[in-house]
Amino acid sequence: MEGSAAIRVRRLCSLLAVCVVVVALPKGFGHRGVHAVRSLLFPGAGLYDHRNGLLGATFTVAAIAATILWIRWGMDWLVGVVVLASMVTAGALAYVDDPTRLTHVAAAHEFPLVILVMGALSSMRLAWRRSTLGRWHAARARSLGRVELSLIDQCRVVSINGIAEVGTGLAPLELRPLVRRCRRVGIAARGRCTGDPMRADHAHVRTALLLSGQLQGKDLAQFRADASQAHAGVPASEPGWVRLLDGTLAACALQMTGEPALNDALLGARWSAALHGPLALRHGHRPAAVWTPLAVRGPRSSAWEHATATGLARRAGWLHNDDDWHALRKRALAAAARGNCVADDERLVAASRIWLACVDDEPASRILGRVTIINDPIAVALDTLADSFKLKPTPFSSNRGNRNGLVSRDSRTLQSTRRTP
Amino acid sequence: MTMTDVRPLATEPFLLPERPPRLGPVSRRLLLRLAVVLLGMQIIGAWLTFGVASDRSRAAGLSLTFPGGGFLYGGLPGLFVVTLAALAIAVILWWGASAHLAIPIVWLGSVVGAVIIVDGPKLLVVDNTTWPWTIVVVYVIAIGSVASAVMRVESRYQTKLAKVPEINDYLRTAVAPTPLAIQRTADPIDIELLRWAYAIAFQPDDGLDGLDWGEQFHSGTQLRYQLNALCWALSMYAVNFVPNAPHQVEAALIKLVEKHTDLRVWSYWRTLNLLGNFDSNPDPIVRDNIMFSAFFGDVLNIFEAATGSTRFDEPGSLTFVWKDGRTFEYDHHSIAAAVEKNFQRSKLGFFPCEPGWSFTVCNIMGAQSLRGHDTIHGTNAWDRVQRRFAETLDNEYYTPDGSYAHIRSSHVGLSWDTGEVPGGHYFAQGSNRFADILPRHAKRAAALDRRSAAKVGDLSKLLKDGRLDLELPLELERHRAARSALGKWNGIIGGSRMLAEADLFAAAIDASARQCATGERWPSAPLKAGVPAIGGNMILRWSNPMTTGQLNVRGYRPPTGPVLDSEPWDDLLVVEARSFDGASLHLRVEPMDALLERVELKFRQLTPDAAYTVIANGSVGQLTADTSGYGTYVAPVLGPTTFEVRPS
Repeated sequence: MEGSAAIRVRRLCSLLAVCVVVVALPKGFGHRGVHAVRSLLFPGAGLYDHRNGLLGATFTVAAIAATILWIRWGMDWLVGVVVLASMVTAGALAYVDDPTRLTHVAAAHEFPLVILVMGALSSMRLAWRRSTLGRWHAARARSLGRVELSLIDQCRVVSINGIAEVGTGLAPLELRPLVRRCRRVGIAARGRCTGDPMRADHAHVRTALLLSGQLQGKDLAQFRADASQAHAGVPASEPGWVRLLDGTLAACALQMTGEPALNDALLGARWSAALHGPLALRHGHRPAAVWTPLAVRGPRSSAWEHATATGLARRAGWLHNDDDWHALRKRALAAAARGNCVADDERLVAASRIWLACVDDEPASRILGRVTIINDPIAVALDTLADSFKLKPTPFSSNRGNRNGLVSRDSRTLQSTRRTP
Repeated sequence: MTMTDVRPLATEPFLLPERPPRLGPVSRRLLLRLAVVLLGMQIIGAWLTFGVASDRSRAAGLSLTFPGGGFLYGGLPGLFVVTLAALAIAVILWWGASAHLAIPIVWLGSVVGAVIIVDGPKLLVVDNTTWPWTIVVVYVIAIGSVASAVMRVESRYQTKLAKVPEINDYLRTAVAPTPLAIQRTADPIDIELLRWAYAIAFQPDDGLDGLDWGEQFHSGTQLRYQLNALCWALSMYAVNFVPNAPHQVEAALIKLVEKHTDLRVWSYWRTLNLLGNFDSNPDPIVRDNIMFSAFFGDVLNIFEAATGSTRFDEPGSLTFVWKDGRTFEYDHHSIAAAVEKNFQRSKLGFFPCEPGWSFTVCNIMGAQSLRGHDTIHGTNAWDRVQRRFAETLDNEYYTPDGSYAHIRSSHVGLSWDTGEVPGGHYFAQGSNRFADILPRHAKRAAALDRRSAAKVGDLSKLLKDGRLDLELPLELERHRAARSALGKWNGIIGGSRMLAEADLFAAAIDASARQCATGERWPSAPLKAGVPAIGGNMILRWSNPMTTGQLNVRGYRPPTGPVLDSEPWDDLLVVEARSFDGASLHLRVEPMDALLERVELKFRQLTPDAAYTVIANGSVGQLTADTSGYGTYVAPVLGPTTFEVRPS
């Protein structure tokens, strides 16, 4: 993350540039300019009120797709290309209508509409997952073994277990698919066709490799260097995007594996500043990620990511109050009530147990303790982490410890449930 | 001995009134209100049919007279049949889901539909066809329906009334047998049932494996009742079989009680509350829902009376969490308070299970829950409710032969046979059959029940050397998902206990086990039946000599004599732990799974510094108590093992 002053300047410049374009295009190109501006503010909108509605819709859909790719893979340039293309097309295909029939656009806030559409899509997906049918579908898919963790989620499992200082229970991370993913993202987002695909960004992958002992020598030094150069104190996950969960895991990993001479305190302070800055809690939520060039807050973080990241941060001392727990508590209890059928609920319960190691909340502890965490690998890892926190008084140990001390889920379940007075 | 010190439950039975009213005052008022509404509809209907007398008005009027009557008038008999089908569905929804508006919606819908369609195009007859002759038909159907219902009710009333002199003669001379006080020894099926109950209890906290799963409104698969039954059964096991080793059974009971707060157990209520009360509050305790609050309150009473544990007296110890994270914090006291508050604000005197439907059995459980809470905590909630409760029971729900209607609508005052109990009436209900709440009622009901159950006593003639060689036919269980003979066996076991036929009681338990045992262990059930029937069987087996009714009256009594204080609870199953003389201990244990080469049994409540002889499966050892009355004895448990701990 850039310094806040630099960010402010950059944001101001961006806003001014947009204003200039919005004013200059109609002045310079007349009616065509107006259409181009409309497409600047809402890709494809400049084509809607003419005979090119289908083309306009295509641009809108392309903008949504580009935004998704931007958020997921860091392909920020693609959004720009789509917007520019839609502006040029709208300007080129604009008709000269009767000026008296033209309507003025008093205020245009359409581009955020793209974000709203994406939010709606996300909400629909969430609603589906929460619905009875969706839950049944998820449970069935899980029971049939159709649910596979994505590469990134596998990395997160490894990282969380690494912080808990236990074995993963999974096979060691296979480097080839990870490298392939990093290469693809690097090419797509930044045109990095040659060289080490993990030389920059990819915090989630590199954190997992670091905590599983697979990131050594030059690569490890490069990771640390990246972190020390980043204003947030951690590298980005995908180019431009520093993610709440991955950033926290990376910060924890760097703190755990760092040498005393390393500027761990500085790293922690930077990440803490990010958590209080662009990733700050607002209206009970934190963003899942922040786009560093303009410090744009990304979509809301899922509750379990929020709970995991802030629980770890609280444990590490990067957060100084329990506001996040107060914001998450009700959602965590709700997840506990719904049980472990849906992965998100199971993860949130497990992540909340990390918080319970930091706060004194006996009623919540009793409710959250009733859920058996056994299905989802991330949830199991989080639960193991929470258990390890109960045993360890210090926030994070620099001692890497025994990585083979895998705790059997079955035996832990029995220990916790066959309890007698 | 710690379990047979019980106060007498009843005095004299009282006779049936010779000419009881057909309805109690509240029910009469509710029915009158319904009659006024229906009469108003009939008047409007008649005015539209004969006064205004256009096609549309006649269609509307006839549909008001009888649902769908306007369709018949409009030459649309198919729609008339559809309306009747919809009406049948509405009745089911009214009863099943408390959809009180379902019938009015269908009825008024048929009015609107008839008005719209009467002059419209028709399929099988010429457009605008009307059948004026159906006016008579509709009125005949309407009058016939009402007359049939009234006659059926009156006929039943008169039939029951005619029995009163005969029943009173019987009651005057009936002699109650000396209640059975059987001290049972746990047999192999008891032990398998205990293992199975523990397996259900000690599975992960959010596990409900082993219970029958299905819809949670009316079928026999309600999780709440299954958990209730398991709690009652294990509580009685704690009192009657292991009073001197309570820890293991108490731990299991705690787990089972806490499972009542699982969302899957009580989430049905929000739907019912929304449909029936137009209230979206999911809180399962605060309003109505006596089938949950009262049963749960009774479970807590019995648990506390059996174990002495005050765990659920702590504020917030029973927290219900809704799926949006809202929490409803309760404990034993606040649940009892909510039950009392519902009783107090009920106009009928009984308060509803499903919104608008007040069941006798559930309200008896409500009374039990207050009575038991009073016993344990020295409160007097039952005293405040008792008089009104008895009035409601005897005036509103009473029928001339001494039985009580199973259900009554608290909106319209109607009762009907829901099919849940034979004939829709019973002499006594609840797990304690009035024994704890209304002893005089209990005595009369027991006498009437004995009269009905006399044929069960005839089975005694089939006993040969104490053995009953009989197999009962399989019948569908209440949830209709499986067939089993255990339900019928439970009836025979319960009947023989009521008739104080000790030999038949023991033989029926044995015969039921022979017919129903599966020989399997968890996750299979030891008896071939659904959980409700198995739960009932466990309660019948283990409520000897102390019953749940007696326990509700007695409350908790700490065990006397040596108490097994700690052992490897996860590895050892305590089958019996009783002190018959207050000084020695009879202890039966067996390994839970693997054989145990060395088990350290720690006892408390020994006489300080006294020496004890321990006889374990014939081998004799010594145990010396310390100055605090604690002592430890080490022995292998390689199978079923009996320890006798006696002062030397």
